[in-house]
Amino acid sequence: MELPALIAPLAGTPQSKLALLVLLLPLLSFVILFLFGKRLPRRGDWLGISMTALAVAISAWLFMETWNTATFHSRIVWFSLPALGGSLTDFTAGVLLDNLTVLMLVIVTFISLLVQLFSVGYMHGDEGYSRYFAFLGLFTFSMIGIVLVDNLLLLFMFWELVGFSSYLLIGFWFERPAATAASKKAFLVNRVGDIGLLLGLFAFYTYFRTFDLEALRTLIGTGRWTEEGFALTYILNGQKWLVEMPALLLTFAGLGLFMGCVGKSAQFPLQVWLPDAMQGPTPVSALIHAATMVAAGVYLLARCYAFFTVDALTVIAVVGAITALVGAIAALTQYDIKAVLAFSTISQLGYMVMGMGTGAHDASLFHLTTHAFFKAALFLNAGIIIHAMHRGLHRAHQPHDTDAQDIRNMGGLRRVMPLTFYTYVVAAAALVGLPLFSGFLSKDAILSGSWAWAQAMSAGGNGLYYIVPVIGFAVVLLTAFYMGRHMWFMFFGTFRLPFEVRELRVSAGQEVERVMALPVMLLAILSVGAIFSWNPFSFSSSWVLQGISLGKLSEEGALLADNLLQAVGAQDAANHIAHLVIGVFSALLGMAGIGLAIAKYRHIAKEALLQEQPQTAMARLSYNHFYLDPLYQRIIVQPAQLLAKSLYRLDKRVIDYTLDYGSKWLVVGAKIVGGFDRLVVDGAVWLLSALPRLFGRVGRGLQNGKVQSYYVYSLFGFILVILYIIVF
Amino acid sequence: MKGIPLEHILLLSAVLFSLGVLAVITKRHAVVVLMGIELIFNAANLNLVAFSRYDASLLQGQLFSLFVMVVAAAEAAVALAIVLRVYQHFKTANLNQINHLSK
Repeated sequence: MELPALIAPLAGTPQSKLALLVLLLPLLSFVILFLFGKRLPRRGDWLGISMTALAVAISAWLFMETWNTATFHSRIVWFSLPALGGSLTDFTAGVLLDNLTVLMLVIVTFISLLVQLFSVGYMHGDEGYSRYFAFLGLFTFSMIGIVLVDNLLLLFMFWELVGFSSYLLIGFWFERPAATAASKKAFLVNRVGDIGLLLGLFAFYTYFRTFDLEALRTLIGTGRWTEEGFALTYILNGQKWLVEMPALLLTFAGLGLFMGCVGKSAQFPLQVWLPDAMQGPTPVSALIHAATMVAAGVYLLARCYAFFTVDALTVIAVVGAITALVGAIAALTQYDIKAVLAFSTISQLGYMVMGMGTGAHDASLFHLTTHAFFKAALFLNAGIIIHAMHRGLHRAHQPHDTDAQDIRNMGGLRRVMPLTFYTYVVAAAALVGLPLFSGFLSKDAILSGSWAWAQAMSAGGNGLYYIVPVIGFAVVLLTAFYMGRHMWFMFFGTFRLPFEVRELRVSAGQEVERVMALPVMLLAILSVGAIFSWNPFSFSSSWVLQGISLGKLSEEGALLADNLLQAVGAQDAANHIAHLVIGVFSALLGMAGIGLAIAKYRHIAKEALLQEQPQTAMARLSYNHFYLDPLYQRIIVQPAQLLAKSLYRLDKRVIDYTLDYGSKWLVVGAKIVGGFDRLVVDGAVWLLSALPRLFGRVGRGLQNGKVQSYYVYSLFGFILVILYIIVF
Repeated sequence: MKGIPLEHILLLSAVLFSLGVLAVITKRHAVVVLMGIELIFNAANLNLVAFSRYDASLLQGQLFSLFVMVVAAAEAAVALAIVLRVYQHFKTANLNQINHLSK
């Protein structure tokens, strides 16, 4: 396999050029709005929205062009670095359009468009209105970049851009200390994962000498497993190279990539940033949770699916299951309307990652798609409710410290906000996974996949693998319970604050601003199962699932964990009865959870609900998210701060002190040397000049011009000569 | 040969020489200095005459002193002429004031 040929430039096509346009449109809107936003009419919101709408239109066309028909790949040489032996190593950059890319492209641009539309109403009158739209543009640009690029190096750059723009948006209301703290936390926690991602990139580059995803996949396809590990050959610089990698190293390289996902997609143990990230404006939460940020991690797993070994996939599955469970348990007792949804996102992301780990690659992406729509719907609806609560509190002159986001302060909203209620019900049903709704299909697919995986893995007799699908089923029950509780608190019973619930409406005849209602309705429609599959009870007939199956995305045998995945696939295909049972069982679990929630809360009085607190130790554990934040504070943040402080002290006391005294001694030394110079060196020179002067003065005194003195001198000399003769 | 002992003559010569030197060193007037020089000459001549008693046949010492006198007379004439020129040039014969090579 000739390596340079694998990464040779590929000519651009109209499709790839348009894809570049989709990438650049949001960036353009960011630049214009950031520089001139305040001076534009309506402060430029129309600009951002129209740019994104254009991007959606182009994405839809690209979707038509690409979906199940063709793959477009354009590539140029980005830059070249000199390598050993005087040759040049080419680094490429390119655009890859396949089913996965265009699916993500449509989701990202579409959700971004709806969020921007919604924000026109939600952010109306905010001081940073144009800055907000500019940042949304940057965020969308970064995410589209991740989706479009064809190599890991560029992907990492856009990955970091996503981290940066999420920092900007979470800390959008930077005058609030909580928001700046949350943005910093999100940024730093993400860095932890990014270190792993970077190490993974290094590991893969070291062995395969390219970052290009297609080339990597092809290379892996040519390799084979041997006694020592994975071996393959390629030709580079006219030489044949045999590369042998131990299985353990490949596993760790894959887990490095997965660490990037753990950070960005909020997996255990790095999920702590996501609940705090709701400090950003609610539409931003919708964007982060649905399309742009957390989806990036799952997308990365899907893109790099060929590079994970069986062991790496097992770790991924377990981490995903733990995350799903932890998120769902934490969501059980939250009172903040957005906190429930945030923990729910963690839990659902855990599902997706678990699906990836258990070989249900397509089901996981399918869940990403359906989750994007129903979670965006839920968050935007939450935004509507928060907006309405603020309006009501303001009109009724309630005290300022009344929390507009606390679901204990709501109740009975379904009568005054029917549109919000019904869209919320549809989206929540999708989240719970009730039949006929989109979530049912995707969740069912993941559960079936994980069941088949457990069967395949347990073939050796180890039944422990069944824990993963069992956790999956438990989370269905928990999800149904917390969503039932959440809905009950908000929409049922009677309104619990001391003013008329009608005050929440915009006016007597209008429930919510039209610009905010439209996106929510569209998203609710997209949460219906029939959109994704002609048979809303069976995921296997879903067109999305078929389009992103492994067979469509990679060539035959081009996966490191190929044997396992084929076994899982075969097992899955054989599980006719199990499919049916799993579908019915998960639907029953969902309904049971909702029933439990209603049974628990329907007889509790209004005043008791208003005052409710987490009572038992378990409830407090859940309410405080397993005390992970204080734990990290204790074992990571405080030692780091302690280290920083002691290093500062060391700096101050030792290094500064030494420098200070060193400089003083240097001055003293300089003075000594200066004195030596002046006295000895200068003195010697002075002496040299002074002696002739002295002799000159004496000689001049002798030659006074008087004849008699000369006579005396000569007489004196004569006497000396005489004396000499006499004496000697 | 009897007469004045040699030591007496040598003593007189030494006194004359010393007086001459004294005059040459201390006197300011050029002519007086010349006079001192004549005294020194004569001290030398006296010695020559005194020592010529050891050369009774030829008397070379007395002859040489005659030459000295002749030469001294010429030398005195030249020296006095020089003193005269110096006096005309510097308008003084005081040796203390004549300490420049030109005026």
